[in-house]
Amino acid sequence: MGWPRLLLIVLLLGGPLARLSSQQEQERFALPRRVVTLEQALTALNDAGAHLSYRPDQLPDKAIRLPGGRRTLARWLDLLLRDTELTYSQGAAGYLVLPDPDLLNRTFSAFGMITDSRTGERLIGATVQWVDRGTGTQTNEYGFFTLPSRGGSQRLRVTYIGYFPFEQEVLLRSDTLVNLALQPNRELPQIIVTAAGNEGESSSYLETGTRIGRAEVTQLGGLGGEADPLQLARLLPGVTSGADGIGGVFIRGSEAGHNLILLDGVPVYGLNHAGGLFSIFSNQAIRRIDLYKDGLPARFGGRIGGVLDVHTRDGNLYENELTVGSSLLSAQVSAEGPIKPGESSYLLTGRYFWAGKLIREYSRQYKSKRGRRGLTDYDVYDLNFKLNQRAGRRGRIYLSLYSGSDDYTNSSWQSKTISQTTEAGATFLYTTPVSRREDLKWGNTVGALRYNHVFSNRTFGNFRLSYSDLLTQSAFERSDSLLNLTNGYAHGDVFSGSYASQIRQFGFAFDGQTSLGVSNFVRYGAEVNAHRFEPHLLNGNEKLAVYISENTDQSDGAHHPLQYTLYGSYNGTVGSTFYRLGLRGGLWSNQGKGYFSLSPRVVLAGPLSPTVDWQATYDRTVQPVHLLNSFVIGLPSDLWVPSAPTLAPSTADQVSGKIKFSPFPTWSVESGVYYKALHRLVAYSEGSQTSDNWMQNLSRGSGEAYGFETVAQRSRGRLRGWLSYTLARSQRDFDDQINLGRPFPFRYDRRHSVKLLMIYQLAERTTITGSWRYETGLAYSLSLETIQDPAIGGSAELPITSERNGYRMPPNHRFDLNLHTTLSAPGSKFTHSIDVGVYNLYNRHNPVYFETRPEYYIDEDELLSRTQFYQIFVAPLLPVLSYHLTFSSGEQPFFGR
Amino acid sequence: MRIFAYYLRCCTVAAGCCLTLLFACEEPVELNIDIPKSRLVINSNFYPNELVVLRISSTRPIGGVSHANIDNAEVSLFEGTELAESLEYLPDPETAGAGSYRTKVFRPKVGQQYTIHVAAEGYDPVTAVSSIPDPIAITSIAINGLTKMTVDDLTTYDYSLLIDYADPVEETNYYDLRIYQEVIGYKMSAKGDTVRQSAYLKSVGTPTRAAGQGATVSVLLRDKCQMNAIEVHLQSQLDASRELPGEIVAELRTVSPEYYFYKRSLLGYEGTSLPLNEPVILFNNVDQGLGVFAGYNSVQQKLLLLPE
Repeated sequence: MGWPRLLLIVLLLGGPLARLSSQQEQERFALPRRVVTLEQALTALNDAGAHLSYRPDQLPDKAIRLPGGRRTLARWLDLLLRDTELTYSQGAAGYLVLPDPDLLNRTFSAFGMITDSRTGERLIGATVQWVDRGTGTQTNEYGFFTLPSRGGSQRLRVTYIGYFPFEQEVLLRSDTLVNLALQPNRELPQIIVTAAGNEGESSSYLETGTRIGRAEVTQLGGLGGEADPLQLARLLPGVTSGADGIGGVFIRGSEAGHNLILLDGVPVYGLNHAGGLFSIFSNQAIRRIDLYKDGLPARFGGRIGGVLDVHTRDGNLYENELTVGSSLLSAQVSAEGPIKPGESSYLLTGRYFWAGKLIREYSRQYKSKRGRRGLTDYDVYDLNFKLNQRAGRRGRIYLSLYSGSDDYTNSSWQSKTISQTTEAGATFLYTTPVSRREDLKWGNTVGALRYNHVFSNRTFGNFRLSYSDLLTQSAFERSDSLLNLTNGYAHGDVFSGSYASQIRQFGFAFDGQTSLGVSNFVRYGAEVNAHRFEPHLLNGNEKLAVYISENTDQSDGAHHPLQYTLYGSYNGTVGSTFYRLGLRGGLWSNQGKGYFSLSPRVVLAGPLSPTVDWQATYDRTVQPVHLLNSFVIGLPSDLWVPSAPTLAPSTADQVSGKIKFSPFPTWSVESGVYYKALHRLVAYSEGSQTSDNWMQNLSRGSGEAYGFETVAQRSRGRLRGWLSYTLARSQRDFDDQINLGRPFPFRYDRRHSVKLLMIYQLAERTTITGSWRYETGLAYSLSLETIQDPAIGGSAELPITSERNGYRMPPNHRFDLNLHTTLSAPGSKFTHSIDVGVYNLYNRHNPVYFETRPEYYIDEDELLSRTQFYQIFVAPLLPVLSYHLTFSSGEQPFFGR
Repeated sequence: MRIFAYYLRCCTVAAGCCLTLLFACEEPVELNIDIPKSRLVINSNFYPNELVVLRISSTRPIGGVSHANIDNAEVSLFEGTELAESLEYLPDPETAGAGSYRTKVFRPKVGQQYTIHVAAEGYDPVTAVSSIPDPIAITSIAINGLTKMTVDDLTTYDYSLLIDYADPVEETNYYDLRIYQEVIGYKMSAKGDTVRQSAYLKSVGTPTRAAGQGATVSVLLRDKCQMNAIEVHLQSQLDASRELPGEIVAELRTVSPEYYFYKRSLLGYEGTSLPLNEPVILFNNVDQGLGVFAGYNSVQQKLLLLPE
């Protein structure tokens, strides 16, 4: 056929077909309002006169709710094919419905939030996976995820510990917002404390934090029934404290002041109630805590130790809940609920340590029985308040506030009378008055206003305005005297101190996350913080009243440093190796001096085999604020001071590596080593300090810590828990003003540490938890001899200590037992939660410190004194009891089975 | 309701136990540790061309009896490796039992190494080594910002003393800068004339630390920490009814490292008597014992507090 003839045929046929097509474009077709299959809908259109071609076997068997009415054919096809992999094309012979050829070749993202279906709480670290492809990611600390994939229909699976897995068919024809809600499963045995990710999932390789959840903390119980998240943290390898938590938390040989404590992203300067017996974190208010020992994400900075990232709960978005209860130490109340269901909610929790009120009279009697006058008084409370409000379809605003206070007073006076008869028959009467007085008051306030926003399918951001302060005031006085009543001769020692510190931090921050692919994303942000530090420190051999009255206004002057920070990190993969590269840059400016720092962070990880994973990390950290400890245990008199022209920031470098072996789905063994070098550490020089000289009287030094940690863990089943062993060493090396320049062990250098946690599921709502720990005793400075004071001579003595921390205290160990049960009648709106147990089951007296006191006696008509050691300990065998009653306006949690 | 009452009773009993938490428990303990045996403590600062004086006592172990005064020790002083002299015990006539050991004729010199060896019955023998450094000259001395305030009969002179000295930059030197106030005693005669008496040295203090009896301002220095002169803010307090201000005496002691570190660690002891305080580690250059055996040198320069 020649082409002129072909042209004639096209002209003859093309004209009618084109007219037909044009008519179809304009023509409106009517369909009824009903639910039909896609094939039925297309058939109905053909029956109505449309020219539609399709293959029935390619049509998905799905029901479509037709809206009814008259539409053009294109409008109907847009509507009908919207949630399918099909598309249509318009030809001369009509419309052809066919699989979209470009869909599978294009990449889209599913993004959104994962929440708790019952409360609306956003779930942090939930795993989101494409089932067929095996690729996945985890939600960030705002519950946000973004997960790219090729277009088309796929199954999305979401899992989270303590929740039923959830799967949903998702059709990716474009970037798609997928907000999913998981249903809690209280029956499912939980992985108690674990790396933030789930085993075997690629998204978890780079997770370096350890999650401490609220439910696990509740099961563990605590001192007097006071569930405390840090009690569980201290059972982790590499984490320790003084006896019964005194002194705070020490992570891998770092000091308590080296830890970054974040409450909803805001740094907190004071962690402890009662010197560390309890943390400021009420379990009622806490959603979870992520503890980082290494592999620190670049968004964390400003400290050279570990990180405790504390997230508070948002409050139930759907139901009102009120919980009241009490432990043997505190009364608690918690109220939460929706302000506008599904859109905004509130949470208010409060604790008041009522036991403090009973102490006053009890302590008076206790001391009286021991021949002393005086009493102890203690007031402690804390409050948490949180509001959250949806802001548009893609944003949410949070307001969170914390306020807590400790007010402690202790006084004691005791005197004994001794008589001495000399050979000549003269009788001398002596009295030995010993007086002690302490007044300590400290409190934190933390506030944050946050707005987080899903900018696009790939980008999420959070803006934060924050405030944090720590105000402390403490004073003490101690005197030991010997008074000869016969001739009026007296001598003795008096020592007192007055400390006050005001720290305020006001900041603005942005934190963003952008996905660049299946396993690639960047995290970036910026922060500006304005600080105010005002230390006040006086002590000496004076009566407290002397310089409190004379020097109440004395201080070293306030510092107003500014801190600017930029950070970014990139997550990627090379072959089977996952990596995260981070860099944090900071500028600290105080009194005209600026310190610029760069902190690189590296995490490498991957599988060695299906059952063995590895991880290696490097962290450099910088700390421009320093905690100066006046005493060997952390007390509120410890002073936070800023880096200044003569005081550079401390830095640390840490390398670590670990191997994880998971022979069975519920069992794992993880072993790791670490080495940490601490530079430009700051501490008080030996001797007394006052406001006049605190900046001049500082010693600079370095430190190192290294160790081996191993833990065998069973994460599911009726019996679960772990057994861990840590071999560690931590030492310090300061200039010649501390320990004469010789290296010495860090006070919390615990060489060996064994920790056992067992949770046994007695019934679906009842667990019994046993925990045991054994740790090498603290390194302590003990004086075992005295010399005559060379400056004074006579009977004046100087205690001689050969080495700082040269003595090892007895090992610290104890066993705790806690039975936790939850009772709720079917259909009832009330839930009863009860904890019964024993703290320190075998009544171990773990010393906090030793004190020496002179004891006078008459021997062969001579007045002599000897030094008696006293062991100060906190908690003997004590009962554990707590009860909480929860009223909910909605259905009670489903307990399974 | 019955359950609630039972719970309440349990709470009350258990809360009583828990109250012990909030004020610490204490108990006397016997620590399972080896208490060190008593050691000899020696104390001597020696100066060129002066007799060597040494005090010897002993440590008191925890739980032990009072400090013993050692008056029967054998004390030998070596110059280099040669025995220079054995020291003799000389009781203090004013304080019985607190005497000292002295050389009779031997006087140490600059640049020599001296070793003291002490043996006493019941104690391990101890030795210590030190030497006397070269003196370093004071290059300038000046007074700045002098003010005077009199309350009743007490006159306080407040001023800054500027002192510069020829610290050799190529080596580490240790100094003890001591400042005294020379005072001229006087009394009024019956005719109303001022009768001057002998001059004597008096301690000076600082604005935050009053002069103690026999304890004047002592500034320990390592090298010269700044390019310019050292500035010390001082106060001299005089009884206006019987004292006239004389010269300010600046004594720059060039000291051995033993002297410096021992003195500095002694300063740290001031006000550290709480059990929760970190202790001071006392410097010690006595093998098998405690204390210090240290040489020093000294130069002085004077300056009138009130210009003529």
